[in-house]
Amino acid sequence: MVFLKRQLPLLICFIIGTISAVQYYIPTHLSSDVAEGLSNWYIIVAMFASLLGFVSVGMVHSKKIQRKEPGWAYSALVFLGIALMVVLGFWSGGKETYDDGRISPFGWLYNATLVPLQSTMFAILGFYVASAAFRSFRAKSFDAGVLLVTAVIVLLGNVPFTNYIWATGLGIHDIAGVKFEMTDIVGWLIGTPNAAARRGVTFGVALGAIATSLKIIFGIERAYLGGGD
Amino acid sequence: MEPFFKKLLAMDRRWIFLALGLAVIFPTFIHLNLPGLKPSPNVTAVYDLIEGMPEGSKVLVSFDFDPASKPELAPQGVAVLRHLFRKKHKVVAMGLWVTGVTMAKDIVTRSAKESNAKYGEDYVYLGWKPGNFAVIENMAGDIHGCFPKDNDGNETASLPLMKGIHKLAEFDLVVSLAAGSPGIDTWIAYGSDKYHFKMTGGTTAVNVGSMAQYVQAGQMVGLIGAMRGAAEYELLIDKRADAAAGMDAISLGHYLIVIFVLLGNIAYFVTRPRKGGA
Repeated sequence: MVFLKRQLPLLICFIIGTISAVQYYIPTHLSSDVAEGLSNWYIIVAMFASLLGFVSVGMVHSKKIQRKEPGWAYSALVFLGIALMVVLGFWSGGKETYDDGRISPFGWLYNATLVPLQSTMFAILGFYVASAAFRSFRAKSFDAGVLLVTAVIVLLGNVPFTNYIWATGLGIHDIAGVKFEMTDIVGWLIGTPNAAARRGVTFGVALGAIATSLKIIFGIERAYLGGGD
Repeated sequence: MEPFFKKLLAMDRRWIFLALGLAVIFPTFIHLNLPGLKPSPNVTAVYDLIEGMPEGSKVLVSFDFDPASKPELAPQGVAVLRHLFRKKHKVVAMGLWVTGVTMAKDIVTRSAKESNAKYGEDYVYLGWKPGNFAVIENMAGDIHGCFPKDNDGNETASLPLMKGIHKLAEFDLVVSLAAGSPGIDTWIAYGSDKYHFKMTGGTTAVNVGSMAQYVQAGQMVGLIGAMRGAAEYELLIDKRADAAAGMDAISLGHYLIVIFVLLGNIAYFVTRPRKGGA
């Protein structure tokens, strides 16, 4: 049992991890075939993981309903939503529109619920951003001041009308031969200090991911096996 | 002035919500048509790339977003597809986000219908497949194996357009319209960098900063940023549509937020306790 629970997963992880890493650097047909085969397996495992996630969500919400925990009615709505989507999905043959162009009940449910709900959720963020900008975006220190000035420039510069006033109204096009319209200033802010910081973060994250991956491949990090150790 | 600013700081946030709501709704009824919109170098680069490809080029368009980002990315999709169909390019569409499958199909179907493009010959919609980056890896080796059937259940191999496309590298261009990950960065890391095909794309306003580095590094050609980018693209193809219409609302919303930030800071500096004060 120890072999099945500990050693076999570690062995599979080591072999697959090593092959996946090495094949990337060997541009041959064989390595392409290996990559394709591995991605096939990944897709299969991902589908099972989706199923596992579905079961997990079901268990969490069924417990909430059983115990009548606060907000249990929302859990009931989760099941209702899933059931509706599944039933209408099968009823519509998995098609959003029929061959004659008519929208199916499945497609209707998607267009009439998911699309407006997600759009609304995202749109509401704009209102919270406006409120947070008014209440919390303060130049309390030099750093915060730099951030605030930059944010205001980017916000204004992203509006075409500002550039119109800047270039046509104020007549500012360049300073000492360097293009200096609002779009150029915003472009520089995004392309230079922002891109530099982003690259730093990206490199840091990538190095961290490589270190963690090596620890998993070589069996140093075993938390994914569960049960401590 | 201090009592006024104290009152202002204590203002119910619902007034802010109302002000922003009005700023966004107002231009939808009364079109301001604010001037100043002109194509940026990044959007022009995407346009020039598509414009410069020979007729009949094969282009993969991946709709990597869900309805939450529809107002920003759907107009980009429509504008790019209009351009692709106008140039008689062959379009294969798909998506890496499951919640965007139906929406993407709607965008592709409507754009194709408007351009009299024929399904199977001028365009194909493959739909979605689970696996995130693995789908890209899989398509790099064998697209027909990865998508044996299109979104409507037709055998992919039986579609005339797909008969000439077997691997990702056979596309002349891949366009990813992405709201996050999986998206442009996934296509670059697992696709274009490894299998050497041309990449371009579009993204939401919050992601423009993250994607700028890929454009600078030459890993993708140009970038359409948010609704403004879509509006610029509409300008380039000379077909003003949803994005151009939405720019007034976006503009007023931006101005209002700047006003709130400035007002908040003025109020903060006027009302903050002075050193040595009571």
